[in-house]
Amino acid sequence: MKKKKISLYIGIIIIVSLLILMIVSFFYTPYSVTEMNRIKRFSAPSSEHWFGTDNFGRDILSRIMIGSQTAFFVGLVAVSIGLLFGVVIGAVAGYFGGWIDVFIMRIMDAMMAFPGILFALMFVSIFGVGIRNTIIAIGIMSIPSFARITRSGYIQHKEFEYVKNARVKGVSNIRIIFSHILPNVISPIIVAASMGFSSAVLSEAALSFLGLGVQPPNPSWGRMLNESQMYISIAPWYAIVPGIMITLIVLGFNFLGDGIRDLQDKRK
Amino acid sequence: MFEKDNELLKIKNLQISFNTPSGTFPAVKDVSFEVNRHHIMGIVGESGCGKSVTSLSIMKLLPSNAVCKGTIEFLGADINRMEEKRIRELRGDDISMIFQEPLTSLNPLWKVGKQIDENLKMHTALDKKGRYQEVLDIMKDVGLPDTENLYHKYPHELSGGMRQRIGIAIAIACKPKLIIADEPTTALDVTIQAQILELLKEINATKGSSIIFISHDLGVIKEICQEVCVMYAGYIVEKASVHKLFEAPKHPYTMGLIKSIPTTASKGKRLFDIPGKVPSITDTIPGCPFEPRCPYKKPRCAQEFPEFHPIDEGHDSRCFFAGDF
Amino acid sequence: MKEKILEVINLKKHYTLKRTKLFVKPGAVKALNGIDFSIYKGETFGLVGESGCGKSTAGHTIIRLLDPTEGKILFKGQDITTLKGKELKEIRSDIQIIFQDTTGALNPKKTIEWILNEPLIAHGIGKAERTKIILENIGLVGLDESYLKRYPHELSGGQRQRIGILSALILRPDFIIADEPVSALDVSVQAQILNLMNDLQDKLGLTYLFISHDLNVVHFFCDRIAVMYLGEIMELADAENLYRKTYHPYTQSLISAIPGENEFMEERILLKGDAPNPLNPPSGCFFHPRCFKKMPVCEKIKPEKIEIEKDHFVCCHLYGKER
Repeated sequence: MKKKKISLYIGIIIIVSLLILMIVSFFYTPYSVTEMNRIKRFSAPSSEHWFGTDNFGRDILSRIMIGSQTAFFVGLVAVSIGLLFGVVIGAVAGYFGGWIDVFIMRIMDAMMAFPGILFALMFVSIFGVGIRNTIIAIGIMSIPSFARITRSGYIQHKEFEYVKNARVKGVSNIRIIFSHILPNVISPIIVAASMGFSSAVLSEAALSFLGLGVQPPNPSWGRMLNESQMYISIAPWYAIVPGIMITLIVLGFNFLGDGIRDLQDKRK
Repeated sequence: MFEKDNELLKIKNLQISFNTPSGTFPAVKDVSFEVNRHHIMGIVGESGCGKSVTSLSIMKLLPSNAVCKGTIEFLGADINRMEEKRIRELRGDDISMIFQEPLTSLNPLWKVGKQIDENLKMHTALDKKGRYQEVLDIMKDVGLPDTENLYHKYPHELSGGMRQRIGIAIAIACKPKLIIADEPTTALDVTIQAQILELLKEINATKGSSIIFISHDLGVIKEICQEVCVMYAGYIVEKASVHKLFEAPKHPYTMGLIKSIPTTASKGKRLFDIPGKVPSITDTIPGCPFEPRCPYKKPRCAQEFPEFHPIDEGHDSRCFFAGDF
Repeated sequence: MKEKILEVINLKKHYTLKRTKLFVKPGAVKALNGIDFSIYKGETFGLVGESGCGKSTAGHTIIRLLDPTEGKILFKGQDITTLKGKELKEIRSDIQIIFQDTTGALNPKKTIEWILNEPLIAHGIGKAERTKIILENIGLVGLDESYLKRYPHELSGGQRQRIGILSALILRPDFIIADEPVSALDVSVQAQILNLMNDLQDKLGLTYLFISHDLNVVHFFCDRIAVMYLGEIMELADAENLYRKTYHPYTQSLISAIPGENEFMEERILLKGDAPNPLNPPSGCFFHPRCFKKMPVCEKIKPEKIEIEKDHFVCCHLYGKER
């Protein structure tokens, strides 16, 4: 049984470390993120610059630290959008069933069939680039999967006797959906939220890599990956460091999600 | 009363506990009884008394964290100390089991005929054709109609009663000496239950298999068993012939249980109810396990632990004052 | 003339299956195929039968958890068959239900106190009043305050059923449908709960519709009993007469099947064959394929309800005009 908790512990350690990095970045970074220094361009990692400098001589460590704010922010807000709409849509579809269910789920199916990145690209090219639209696009993309998970929980639980009991005692449908059933179906949704976080970060990195997400001079790990491609032979650290950070946060949330799921399974 | 060579199964001082991360829990604390040839022995008790665990231990089907002490002698050999290989030979052949829920005890992906056939394959030397014929015969024996067609059906295509008959067919395929039936009719409708009980009685009479019949339903026990053990909190508290048990029970728990069942006499009155509830598996009680709920309790009952002792011929009880009832 | 509290007229509940072939009308499972009975104030009316007979469906339909396909339900004279919304909610304080499955009937993630508050909240009762009501009533079911902060899984089956009963009673209904309330309980706990239900009936002037498959329990607990088979009522009479002066062959086989020493019948009647398939009910009288007193007419025509003795009704050709 102890073996299974390793996922959880690794996930927690990684995420907490990154969170600490992020919190510190609010108060202190070794250098300013925009401070350019022509002389120090492309310097390798040293005691002065732990992760080296980029093509503008900016300290990579500082940019990584501020970039963590972007990563967490994007993940948090995008997942929140997905959760808010996805859970409500899924709950209504699952609980009421019938044509409401069919109607809603066909829309969700259509959304899911559409390639996510393509949608984000379209959205961003219509509404403009930048962090706000990136988050909205990613959030919208994640709605169908939350809706699906929620819906299956509700389909199962609405037949349980405690729900019949509530209906027969006169409790309103809205109250049943949110107060009675939701606490019972929330476990898989939490796991999905954790996985959704890492997927949101990856999507943001992809969009920023393509130049459509976070715009200069704001640092984003994805954009740093993009910008560093040209210089990979002379300053490999410039590409490696943001790559590792993205990998870490994705792994961290995936381990966390796995760990939470294992915990729930064990409890059953 | 029973000759030595008539004895089929002899369980002595059986103790079963389960090792879990939160500690060791005793499910069965002291069980002893014998089953003879052609005999139908009942074990009755409410949930948590340990009857199912006892039956699983006879076939060594307990999970790996179970610790089983005491002797389970089958035809002279102690099952508890037997090696796995030997027990596998016994299972399905000399001793077999019928479970409560036929839907889950049958393999949903195999045709029902094949499941009976599997038992014959493992324990007999018949060839494929011989086995097929034997399966059809067994299916007829358990009262299944249209056997050639039924052979090829899947469990979910059959009704509950028919599935249980398949379960019984699998159990009797190799003409076992002992059948352990764990609540075989609990999940069935009362009219189907009546059919299945008749079938089991017939199997006992014509094929000579002894049956250990486990149930919480005293009516069913009365219907089919010749002798019965009453279990409470991991102990056998009374053992007697069915006739004597219902006529003149000699343990307060048995008496309470019998009185709790609604009968024509109780109509319009309060049912006797045993106050309190069954002790949890973690409670350790110094004296008699039933003492907290017993209407006849005396100071001795809380301090001293009553041993299982004979009151009458063929009638044993675990109560100090059994002789007074 | 005794006051009728519930009247069920030709109640039907059909579930239509999904259409699988384009031009073939989908079949239907006739869970309830036209049942009629009345329940008088203060009595205990039993609905007994084996699995698939429709007794639970009847209970669920009467309390409007399901919508009837046809027929009428009159509660205290009011037609509640098609009530919706606010009007339906109003009668919820008059008719309530107790379920069988004690583990599933209480929300596993909520405390007992929360569970007991919900019916009161739904009927607009304020916090102070709710606390008062709960504290006053918890003793009614033999429990005390200490149970309020616990979760359902911390209680035993019997205790959970007591909470189930309390949550049904907390709105002070006059009529309670009990759907197999003791079937999942041990014999000794069953006795406790049946005694409790009897006491509550005396104390609060309740009327019960008691649904069960256990013939001993039903005989003990109920005043009048209806026997159901495949969605129809085969026989209806008061408890003693139903068990001792049984007319319908199905009822006879049912009662004779009671294991152990049968106090009602000496001969055991063993039915041949299996329980029927509700998807494909037999023609004529539903029971004819298994009936040991079958006549040719039984395969073709459904028997009508006959009052064979005072207040004793049977649906069987043996006693009908077409003999």
